[in-house]
Amino acid sequence: MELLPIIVFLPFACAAVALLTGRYLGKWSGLLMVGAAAASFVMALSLFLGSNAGHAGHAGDTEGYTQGGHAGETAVEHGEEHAVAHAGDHVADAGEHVGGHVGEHVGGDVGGPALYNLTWLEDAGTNLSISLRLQGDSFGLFFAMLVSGIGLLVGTYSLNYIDTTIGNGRVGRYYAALIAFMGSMLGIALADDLFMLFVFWEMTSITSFMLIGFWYGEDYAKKGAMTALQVTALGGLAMMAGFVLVGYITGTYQISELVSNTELQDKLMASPLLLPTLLLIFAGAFTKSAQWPFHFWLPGAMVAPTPVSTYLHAATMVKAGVFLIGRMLPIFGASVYWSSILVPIGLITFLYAAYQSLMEHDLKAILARTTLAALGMFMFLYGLKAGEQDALQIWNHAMYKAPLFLVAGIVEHATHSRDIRELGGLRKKMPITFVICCLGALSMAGLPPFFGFAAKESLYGHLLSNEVLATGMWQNLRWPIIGACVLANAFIFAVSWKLILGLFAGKETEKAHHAHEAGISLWGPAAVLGTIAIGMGLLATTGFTQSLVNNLSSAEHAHAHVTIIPDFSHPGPLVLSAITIALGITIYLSRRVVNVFQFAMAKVLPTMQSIWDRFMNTSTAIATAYSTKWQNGSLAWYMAATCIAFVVFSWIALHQGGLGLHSAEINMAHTPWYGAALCGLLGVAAIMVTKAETRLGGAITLTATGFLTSLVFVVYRSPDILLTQILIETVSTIFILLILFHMPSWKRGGPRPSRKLIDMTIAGAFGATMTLFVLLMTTPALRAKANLAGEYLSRTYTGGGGQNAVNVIIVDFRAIDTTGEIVVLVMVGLIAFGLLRSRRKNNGAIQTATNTVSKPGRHDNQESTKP
Amino acid sequence: MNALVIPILWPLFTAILLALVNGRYKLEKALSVLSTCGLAGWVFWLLWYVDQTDAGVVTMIVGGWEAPFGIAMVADRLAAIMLCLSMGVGAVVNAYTCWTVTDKQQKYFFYPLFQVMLCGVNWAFISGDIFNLFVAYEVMLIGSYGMMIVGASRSQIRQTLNYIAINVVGSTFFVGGVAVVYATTGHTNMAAIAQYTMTLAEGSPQAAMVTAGSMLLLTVFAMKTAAWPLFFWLPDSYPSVPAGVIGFFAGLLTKVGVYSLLRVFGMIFQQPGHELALDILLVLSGFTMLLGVLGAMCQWEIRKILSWHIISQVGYMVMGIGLCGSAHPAIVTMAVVGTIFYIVHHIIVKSCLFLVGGIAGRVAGTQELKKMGGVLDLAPGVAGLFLIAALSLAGMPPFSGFWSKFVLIRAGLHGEHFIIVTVAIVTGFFTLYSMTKIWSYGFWGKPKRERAAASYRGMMIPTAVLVVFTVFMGVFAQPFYRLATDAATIVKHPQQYIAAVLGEEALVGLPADTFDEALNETLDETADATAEPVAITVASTNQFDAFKSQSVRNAHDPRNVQVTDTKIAASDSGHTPETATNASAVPDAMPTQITHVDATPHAPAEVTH
Repeated sequence: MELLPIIVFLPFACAAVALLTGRYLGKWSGLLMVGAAAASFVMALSLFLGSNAGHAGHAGDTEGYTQGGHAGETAVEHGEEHAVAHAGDHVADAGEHVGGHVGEHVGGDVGGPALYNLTWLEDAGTNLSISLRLQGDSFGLFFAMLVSGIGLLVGTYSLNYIDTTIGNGRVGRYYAALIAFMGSMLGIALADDLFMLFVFWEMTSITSFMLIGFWYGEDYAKKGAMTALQVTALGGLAMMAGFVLVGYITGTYQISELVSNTELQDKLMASPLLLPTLLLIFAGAFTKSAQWPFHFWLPGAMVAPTPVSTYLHAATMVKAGVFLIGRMLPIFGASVYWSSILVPIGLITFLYAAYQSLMEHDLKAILARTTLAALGMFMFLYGLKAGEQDALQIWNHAMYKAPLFLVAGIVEHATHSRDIRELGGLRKKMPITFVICCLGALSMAGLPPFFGFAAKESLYGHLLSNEVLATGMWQNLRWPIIGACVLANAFIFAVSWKLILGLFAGKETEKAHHAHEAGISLWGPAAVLGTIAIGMGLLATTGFTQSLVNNLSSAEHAHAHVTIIPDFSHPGPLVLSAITIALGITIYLSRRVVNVFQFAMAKVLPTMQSIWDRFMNTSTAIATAYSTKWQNGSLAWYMAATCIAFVVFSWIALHQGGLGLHSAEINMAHTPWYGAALCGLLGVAAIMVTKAETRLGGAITLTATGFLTSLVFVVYRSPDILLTQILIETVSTIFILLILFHMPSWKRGGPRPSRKLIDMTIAGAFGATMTLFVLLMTTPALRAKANLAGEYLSRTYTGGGGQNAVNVIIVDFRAIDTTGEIVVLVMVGLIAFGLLRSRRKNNGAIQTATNTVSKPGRHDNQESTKP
Repeated sequence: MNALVIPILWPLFTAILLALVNGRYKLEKALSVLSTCGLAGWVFWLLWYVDQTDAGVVTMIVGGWEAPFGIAMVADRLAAIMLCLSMGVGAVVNAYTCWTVTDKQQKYFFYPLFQVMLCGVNWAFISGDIFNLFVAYEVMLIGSYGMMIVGASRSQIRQTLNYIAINVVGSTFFVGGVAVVYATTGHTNMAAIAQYTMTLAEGSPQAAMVTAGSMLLLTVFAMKTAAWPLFFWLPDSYPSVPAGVIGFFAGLLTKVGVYSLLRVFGMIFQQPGHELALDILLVLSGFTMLLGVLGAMCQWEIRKILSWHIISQVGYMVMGIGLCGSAHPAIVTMAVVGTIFYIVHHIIVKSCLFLVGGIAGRVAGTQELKKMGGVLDLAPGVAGLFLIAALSLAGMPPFSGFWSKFVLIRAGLHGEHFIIVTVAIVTGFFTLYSMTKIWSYGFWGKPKRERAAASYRGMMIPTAVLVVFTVFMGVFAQPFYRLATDAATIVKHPQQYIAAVLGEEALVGLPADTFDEALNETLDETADATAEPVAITVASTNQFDAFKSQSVRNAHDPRNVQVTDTKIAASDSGHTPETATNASAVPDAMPTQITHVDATPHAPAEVTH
């Protein structure tokens, strides 16, 4: 059985159920979340154990061999099945190709990760292939287990946290979004196609938008949700372009192929588009993982309910960007840009967020800032190509940050406050929470024997031996970089103590007075995570932790050194830890001085949030200015712009074709005198139109030009068309007059001379262009040699049975055109009838059918507004 | 196939029938819905029928005359797709209006006018004659004028005036354009124009004249599509279109313009230098996208926001058409497929959004965002419909909008048109911004009333049809993509269209259809480049498989056989019209050429190995 698609799609099915039945199930739809998460977790774990055994088998262990081989076989079988099932079918011609390829790929590497492949969009013509390709490699499965495991705990926590008085439907929607979010995250973790990853990526953006905006009655929640979505979606779009560029350069969107085929990587490295590609992909990762300068949305997103903050903004979603960079490391790692972009951005985020976390008073804001710091550290580590550290650091962070968020939720639940200044002395009222908080915070501080300590030791150890830092331009920056890490960690150390002592030590405040311990469904999940935080630390003494995180990491042969037993032969990490702790204590003790400095600085420097707001406001202001000036309701301007556009297009084309007045042959020999006279009259009438003082006058002179134009057919000896034309002119005159009846009266005075000049220029240019066209059209050298006229004439009698060619054309050859024109005429009649009837019945103001009463005034006079 | 007049005559007769029963409102509604649904069913059958024919083109010459002399009605795949859209959305909108139309509107021939508009839109899609296309536009426009005017207030009529005035000017341009085209090419039949323009020599004054003359048509179609700088009529008039039919206006009317642009500048004008028009369109599309979405940003009424979004969305489609000017066949393919995909997606989603906006307006009592709020609590189902449609419009996966944007952006990036792609991405971002704005002000927030202001549940049914479609089209994109790829022949192989309308003999003397070979060559280059020494065994088998499957498909697919005679002629005779003429002057040459059918796809494979 294929587990991978079930892992990803089971949550979506559960989400649909929760959405549809939420109004009946109410809070119990949370059980769907718990169930889906548990199932996904178990499946991911079993796959991990299977592939891990397979890995061992590959190395020579016969016992694991069978299991791993089995996994490979399943994939092969599936590939074939897929191809056979659709054979002959259009989609599957492609499927055959891909399916065969999968079989080959997996079969060649027995014991490789589990695979699932289903073609989604295929086009051989343009070399496009996007498939629902899932790959269960250990790093992906690690991420999947993290997502589903914490999802399980958060789901349990939510059961009692989310207040059902807001209405069952809303609770159901909450869980639907949460479960769908989990499914999307699992999709990101397991996707093996860049566009599959992108699809799930955008789905996390949308579901998180819904979750952040849970308290949608409040404006701040709406704003937080919108900012988060805007920033992440902008990054997502950029990332999509980056992925397309990857496909353009390499011809494939498949991650595993990009990773394994060094040819493709060389192509990427040699491409002139490498830098844009990288920047676009980084834009996606940085916005999602809230790296400076896109970090501001994350603190804003803390308006979400606490379980959501825990799940999305501490444990999983914000790590998606980090995860993506981890996926890209083997592909782009060779690029010179890789480290020089990631290291500074990661380090700035790390240090800046750690520094800012000390300024905050809101519990969740403190935690959000420390999360930012951790995300910065992950990016920084990837910048140093330290893939082997990733599973360790990500896991460690999730194990201390998630319980701390849950504790913040419990405290808020109990005291109705999140402001650390209003809280204190809770240790007696909430002893269990106190213990859990200590587990999390001490791990965050990096004290032994916690997991955090092991991770930090490993980090320091790695920094001291990192290859990137030992080469090139980084050599000189090595110690400043390590120093910055130590400083940032010291800030986090100080913040950890601020949390513990600020909440639980000291005198009981007023808010804390009514506090009470929460139920087990709230503290239980937090306790589980806290236990892991210390348990993994204790297990680090045995080497279990080390082998586990090395197996889980994205690096192929990871050998991160993880232990809590100090190694005195290499005292470097230990010394750095000691410095961190000493510095941290100093910062904690002098926090008031530090705060004064920080707030003074904050007043001077603009925040990214304000810059973003200014950007959005400026865009809106530009938009408003433009749309009212451009779309100003003035018909005169609209006409002028239309004419200008036409003239510009035409002159571009004429110029490019080398055509002009010189190409036209002007021959007046066959012009009859009355034709010339008619043209003269037409000119006079046209000028009269511009001289008209009233609307009615304008309409009448216009009609005169119309009738004179009809007379042109006299020159061409076709009285039938003349009559038709006169009829049309008559009807349109009536139509115009009808509309005029509803128009306001013409403003006196007329336009200014400058305006007149502009209008004349535009009209002149338009007239000149049209005239030139007519002259060119009548030039034989520019015309087609044959046309239909001869055909029509030759068939008028033989085919159409009539003497009059025009009549036969109208009623026979092109009868359907005539039908259309008749329809138009009849409809004009019907409309005019309706208009007249409704006018006569209700004079003046009328209740409209469509309840759209638009504001008059803006569209008043043509003349009152200028282009 | 004489039945091709059905999409024109059916609504016309329905209009007459409805006008006769005017006054019996319920009967009128029922008849109108029945008729529209019936025709919708028929055009879906037509799409199936056209798709399974060899050439993918079904023609009819009105009156039994022969083309190019008589007026041709042509349903190729693209036209059939458009017909399905117009009738599908028409049926949905017709059902929806049963709840929104007032007795007064009905009294003044609302439904007959609606049917006439449907007739005009269908007509525009299947017309194979450029003057006839003009007539179709007029029929469509007269229906739309009428629907905007009947039962309207004074201020609404004033807004309608701008719409009418600009469109009348547009029609004037149109007639002028047709006149220029007739003078310069001697034809009004689209296939005949294409046939003539293909024979024009590089740098000839005739070719330059045709290009220059086409600018009139460019102006008018750009106006009808609401492209910058000619979109003035749209934001002023659409907010005063009656509820319900606004869905049809928004979905179809501008897309008739897009369709015409694709048809005329993608297929009809083939003279050397015709890319100029496409380049102009590409430039316009950037401004259209950006300025359209900027206009939407500062609006606070759902209909106004959505109206401005039509403009920016049209920009994407025009961008696709503009990218067809590329010299690279793979990019042309992507661009035209993307355009067609986008048109389909957009018509569905845009109509849907206007309809949902109307429902939300009924629930909240207004469509002014600042006065709305809490629709999510009052009517969660409506919110769900809106959410899906809005996300699809903003290009979020897995809905249809994602694929549309993806294919176009891919075409742009592969063509290295970085500026236009940047504009497209920024536009996508602002689109999402406006959608979240509608969502958070209209659907989130505290409800301003206890219960919905008016009944709305029934209206959700037709609307849901469209929502389901956009989800379906996103999740099961492959069949739609395949259809769009096949419909893309109008740009890739105008020869097929010409042959279907004018007969095979019309291809004599035309430059041969080398598009597929060129495309295969480019594919080959990429395949070649990926298969470097290290991975030679795996890669070369793959490549072989690819060619094998392709040649198998070609052999099975009669469509490809259709083209091959010209294709082979090209490879044999070196692309010049003279030699091609010589080759086909010998009738015996044909059968021998057919034998090459299988060989063609293999040819590149042989070269590479």
